[in-house]
Amino acid sequence: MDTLLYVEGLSVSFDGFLALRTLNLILERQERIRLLIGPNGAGKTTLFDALTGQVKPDHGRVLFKDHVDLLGLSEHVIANHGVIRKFQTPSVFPDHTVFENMVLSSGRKRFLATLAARAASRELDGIARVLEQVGLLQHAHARAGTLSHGQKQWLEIAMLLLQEPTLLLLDEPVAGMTRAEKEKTVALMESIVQRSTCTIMLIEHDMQFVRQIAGRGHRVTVLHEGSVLSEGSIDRVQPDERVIEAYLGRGTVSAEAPC
Amino acid sequence: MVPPLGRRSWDAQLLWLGLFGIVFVVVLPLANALGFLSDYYLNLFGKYLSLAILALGMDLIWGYTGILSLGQAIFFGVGAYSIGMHMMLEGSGKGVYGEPVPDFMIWNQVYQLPIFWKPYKYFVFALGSSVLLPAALAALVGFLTFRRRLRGTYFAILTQAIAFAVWLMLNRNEMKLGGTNGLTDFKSILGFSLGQPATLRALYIFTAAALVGAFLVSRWLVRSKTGLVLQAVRDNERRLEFLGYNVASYKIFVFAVSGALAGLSGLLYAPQVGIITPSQVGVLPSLEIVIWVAFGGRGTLWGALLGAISINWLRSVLTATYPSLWPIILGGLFVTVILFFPQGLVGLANKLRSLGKRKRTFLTTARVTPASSKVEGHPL
Repeated sequence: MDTLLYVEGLSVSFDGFLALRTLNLILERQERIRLLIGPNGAGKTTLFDALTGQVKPDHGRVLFKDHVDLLGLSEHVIANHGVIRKFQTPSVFPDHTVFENMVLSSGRKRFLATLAARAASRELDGIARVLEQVGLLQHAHARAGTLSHGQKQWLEIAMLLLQEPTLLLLDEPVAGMTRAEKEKTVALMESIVQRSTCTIMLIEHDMQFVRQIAGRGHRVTVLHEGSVLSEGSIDRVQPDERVIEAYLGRGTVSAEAPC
Repeated sequence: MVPPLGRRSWDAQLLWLGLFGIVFVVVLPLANALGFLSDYYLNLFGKYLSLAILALGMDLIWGYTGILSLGQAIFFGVGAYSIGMHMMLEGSGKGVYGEPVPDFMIWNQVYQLPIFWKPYKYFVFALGSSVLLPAALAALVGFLTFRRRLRGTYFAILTQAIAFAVWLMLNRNEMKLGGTNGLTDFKSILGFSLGQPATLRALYIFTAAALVGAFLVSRWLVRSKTGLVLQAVRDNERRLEFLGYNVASYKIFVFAVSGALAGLSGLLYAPQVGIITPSQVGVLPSLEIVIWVAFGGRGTLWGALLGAISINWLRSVLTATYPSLWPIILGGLFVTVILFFPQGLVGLANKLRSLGKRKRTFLTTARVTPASSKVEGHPL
């Protein structure tokens, strides 16, 4: 009853190449942030693809909140179940303003509902609150295409938050960010899990960022060649021999992680 | 911090539309009634304005949503043929042969009214068939294609193929729709003779009013949340799916609306021009609509309107003097627009306006510079 995400024996192949091999993963409901790391080609992004219905797995079972079978559902249905994903590159709508981007991601998505949509003040309050949370309130009327890279990433996270995610999947949220932006993002992650009941699962290569998040007691899962290699607190995972081996004998899983 | 939902709260647009409405719905017919404007020109304007409605529909699907439909003329044709059939039936029995079927059927040895013609005796049915049937057809094509994620070039080619097929079918006498000659020699509509200037004036007023109405509906649509979604389809469709939108239903909807507008355009066109033939339904006229919208400025409603009116006006002028050059000129215009001002006439106007603004700021900064450079201590 307390399992948020239950992944059992998940296998995905592309033209004979096994991207995921019988992967097992369990995410409890009370868990707030789960970090996914692993060398290139470990299957991290493929796992997100499988969870959000972008690739069809060969075998396996994915149960969300104990009763929703995510496999076989189409992308927008999965999104409406509360599994919301952020892609690696920021994909906001560049010709819409920040505010319009937010309107697009909030409220009802059914076609008839949008035809009659009058933005309820509750909805506008929600937009303003989230924009403030990510620090973009003063840019509400700027065209999204004119924002900096970091700001676009935050806008996208803000758009995801409006969808009231139960499980938020973030794929390398700090890639390409400046140091100051990364620190702001760490704080943002914390404020998200404090202010909502949403659980975040995030892929990251930036080990400094990973350590900053994991240092607050969040668990780390290491993927390697399509299955789970190691799992636990950062202090347990980091010295793990197999993990060090997986990172091609770099000595430790340290600052110069592959990217 | 409660901004209005919509693109820009730029309501000068409504003012311009009001002005447009007064000139075209009130002033021109009045001038015609008083004898200042010839019946010929009023009729010509009626034709342009009806085609502008067609362009609005094209702009909604292509300019705003980014889906290139190369079959808009089919829907136009459904509208024009529907009202044409009604007018043929109204005139049947009054023709050369005095038979209860349209004259062209006699030439094809058809003496019994085909069953699918029968409901077109009723004006209301013809009206519904000219607007709702194209909308339903568009929705059907949209349902079969968008749900299968057929998009981009494939959709354009598919619609073009359908346009070609429809053109081939209409050319055949077996279709009992007049073959290559199409439907013509309309006598009257709702009992009013089409030979009377007053009837044509009334048709003109309906057309101009319908255009203003279509503009208002389109404007409301593109400024609604649905409009935001449509423009987002144009920019990044995949992303929209991940936001939880069932993009297919939006595309089906906007395609149906554009079909309805095309049908409405045909409905108003046929009685004013007095003829509808397969040559106005096929591939080439569909392509031409794209050129109107591109020329005027895709993604802006004014652009569609201006493009349709200006190009058709140009055609009237140039085909009178250089009929054989017209296709070359039209093609040349299209190439010029794509290469030099991809935002069309409206984009060009905006660019000129912002250029004027920049010049002004440049002048003011130029005046400030000497003083500030002195403060900074530069030798110059």
